[in-house]
Amino acid sequence: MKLDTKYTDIQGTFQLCLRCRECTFGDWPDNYHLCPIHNDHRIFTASAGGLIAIMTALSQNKTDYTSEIARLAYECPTCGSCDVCEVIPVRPPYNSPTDLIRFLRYQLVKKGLVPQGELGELYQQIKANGDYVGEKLSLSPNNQGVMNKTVLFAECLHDPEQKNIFQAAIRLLKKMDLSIDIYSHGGCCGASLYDLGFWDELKALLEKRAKDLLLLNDKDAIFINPHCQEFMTKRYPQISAGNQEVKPKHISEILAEAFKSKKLRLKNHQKIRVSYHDPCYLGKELGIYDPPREVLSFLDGVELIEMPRNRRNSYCCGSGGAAGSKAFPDFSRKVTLNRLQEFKDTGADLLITACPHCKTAFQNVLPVSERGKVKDLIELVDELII
Amino acid sequence: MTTRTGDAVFQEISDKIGADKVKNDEAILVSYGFNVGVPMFQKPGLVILPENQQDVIEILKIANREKIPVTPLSAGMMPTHTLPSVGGIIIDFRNMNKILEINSGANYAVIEPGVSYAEFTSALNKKGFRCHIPTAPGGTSALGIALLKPNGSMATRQLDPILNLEVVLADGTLVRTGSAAFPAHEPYSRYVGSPDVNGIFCYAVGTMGVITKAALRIYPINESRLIHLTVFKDFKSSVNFVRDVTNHNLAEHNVIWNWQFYRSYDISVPLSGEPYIPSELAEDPGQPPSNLPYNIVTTFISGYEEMTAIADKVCTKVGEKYGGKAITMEELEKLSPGPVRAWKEFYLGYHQSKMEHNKKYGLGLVPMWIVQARCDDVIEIEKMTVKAISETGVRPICYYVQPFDFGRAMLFRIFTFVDPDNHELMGKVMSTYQELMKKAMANYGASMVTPPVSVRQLDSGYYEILKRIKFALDPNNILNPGKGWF
Repeated sequence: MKLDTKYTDIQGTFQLCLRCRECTFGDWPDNYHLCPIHNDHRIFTASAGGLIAIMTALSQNKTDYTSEIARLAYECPTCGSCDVCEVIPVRPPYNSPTDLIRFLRYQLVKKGLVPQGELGELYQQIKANGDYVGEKLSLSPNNQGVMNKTVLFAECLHDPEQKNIFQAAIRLLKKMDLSIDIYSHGGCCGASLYDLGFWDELKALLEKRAKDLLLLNDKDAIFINPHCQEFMTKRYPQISAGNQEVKPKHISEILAEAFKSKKLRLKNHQKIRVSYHDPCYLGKELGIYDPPREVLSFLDGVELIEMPRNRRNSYCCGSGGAAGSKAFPDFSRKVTLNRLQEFKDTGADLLITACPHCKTAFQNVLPVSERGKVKDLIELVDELII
Repeated sequence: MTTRTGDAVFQEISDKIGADKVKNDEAILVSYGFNVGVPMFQKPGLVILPENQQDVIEILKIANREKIPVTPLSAGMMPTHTLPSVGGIIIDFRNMNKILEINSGANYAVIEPGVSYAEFTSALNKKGFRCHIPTAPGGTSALGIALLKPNGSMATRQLDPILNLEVVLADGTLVRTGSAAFPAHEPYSRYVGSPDVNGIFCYAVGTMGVITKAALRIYPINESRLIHLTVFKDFKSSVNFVRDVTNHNLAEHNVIWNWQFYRSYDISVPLSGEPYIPSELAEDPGQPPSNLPYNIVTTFISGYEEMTAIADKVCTKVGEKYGGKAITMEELEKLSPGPVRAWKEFYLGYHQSKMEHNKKYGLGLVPMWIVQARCDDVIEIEKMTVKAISETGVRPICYYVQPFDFGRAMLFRIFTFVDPDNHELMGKVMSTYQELMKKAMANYGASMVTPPVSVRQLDSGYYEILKRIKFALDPNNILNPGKGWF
């Protein structure tokens, strides 16, 4: 969605909501309840359709912006279950439900209604610094140039845990004899600012980074973080009016290709049973469901036990991206625990995911002694490869 | 009606049924203030989410005493009738969503209003049963749709799915209809040697009573089921075929689809990338391309294998009698794969996953026009309607037609897609619809199937009865007032 979108640009989409409730549940015949806010509140208002109705009222001055509206808009983890419901259209000139919710967040930010607490503090930091950088990524080789056709997109860390994942990825890419450069200009790509509705700050950030981001044009960019991939490949082209053309691959696709062409060899290891959590942005937003499973299938001795809610019927981890969970951490925790219980019910030894934020969300609610049960796909492969 | 909800009422209802079920937050009230397809806003005073019948009884007793309007909604999709009264009460049934019983011996199921079609069909499917499938998304209330004498998958043979109801009247009185009115409350039969009270509450859009439970007809999934396809060059031949097949009891159901409707199943609106819209959908709906038949009739046959095989052959013979030709699903797939996929799901899967057709709402708003008329009159109505709507310039123009009540009448439903920002075109289409309605009723004896306008068109004696019943049951007119009926 363009950052200068107004209500008049999106009112057409509002009218298309049928109030059919399909934005709250998954595919037939299981019909799993997939919308985390509706699952908790069990009321129309707490759904994509309900938030669209609120926006309709706001656009017509039938109500005012309030902290109650902010609570609903920011509890939503933008998991995309409503985007894949296939009733509310998601293509221009219309907009996906999650983009409409982000637009609502932007309006709330302009009204000074960013939820207080951790998210409020983060917003103040971003306003002061112009960026959301957890920790600058410092990877070896520390190559800031973009020379090769293939680059690893490795922007800022939002938590130190991601560094392990990136380092494991680099080891694996070396073993595949891939000549890559690391794209790391030390700033947020903008995904979090976009998600959270900090659009004025995002505009400034992207203007500052425009030259850097152009370096990615026509490159084959390998992404580890699905949020960055989704933003850079789907949202940024809309925002930058088509100036950006990144050719993306998720690391799981690269790994799957490497296994098929026998570039990676397995060590001997004990048998383990794993379950795989489809990250919302990798799955529902980017449609990447099979490559991670292909990778797991190449790991002899690793048995995949699917959770009942999987693929496009996957349930959110609760993280809401890098910083979404900072808005209402108790609510996010509830969502995470819901998903974790599903994992526990499988009886699998490990929970594997392919998104650093999902991994962090799961680990944060587990006792320290159990955090090793959650791994990123890259870490698992790195451990099992010669 | 003068009293609206205030703090005292909020507190009293909260104390009676539990504060967590009663909402007066501004954001919640506002979100319930709109309606589908109606550019109006009316903010309720309370939104209440009952969890059982007793909750509903308590709500209505207080509302009736205080003369507060009450609007029930099961899913909330019905245009117009789910708009609340200003300051009134909305009862949202989404948390009364249990499937209470699936009785495989007597072929009925008992459900609460919050059960969605997706949940209902899934539960029935697991037990080897099916139900009437409406042309509505899976999130629709199964009970809500059943109350509207639906025009979906079984309309040929079944008038409506309702067997029994449990209704709470405006003053909190609980009523059970049909066989459930007898001491054991077993809801297997609608007719019990007395006037059929069910009819008062069906299609009443919450104006006569608030329904808290219903027993619906269900049907076993038979050993063999198939979709017989017959193609026709003109609508009259399609109608004659359907009438013949229905009169000879060959089919469970028939639908006549025009070419722009079945071809619209090929529209694809992916999550990213450009949509695919077949180019011929922009053409004259009266002139299909040479490779596409003007009408396809889907005839659904189910039963024992020997029987369906014979019925299939006979349908071919009858089709040829009217100048049509039977084709296979494989042949249709080469012309237009979309309808093959959708019809298999609808007729053989007994559900509509994520509303196969609704995803095309990405093309815009969908103004619709629906009437019922005798078969011969529908032939003239089709001619008149397709021509008139074509002249507005809107495309595509989609219709489907299906028999009701063993072919005594046919329902004709036509719709198109309009960009929500194109107010001029929408205005043209809607005024054309209004003109067509007048002509269809005056010249072809058509009657309407969509409230509320249909009530105003009724003979004064009929309407008088309805009014007398309404005010006997609801003297304070608290049940869904202001919808153009009472």
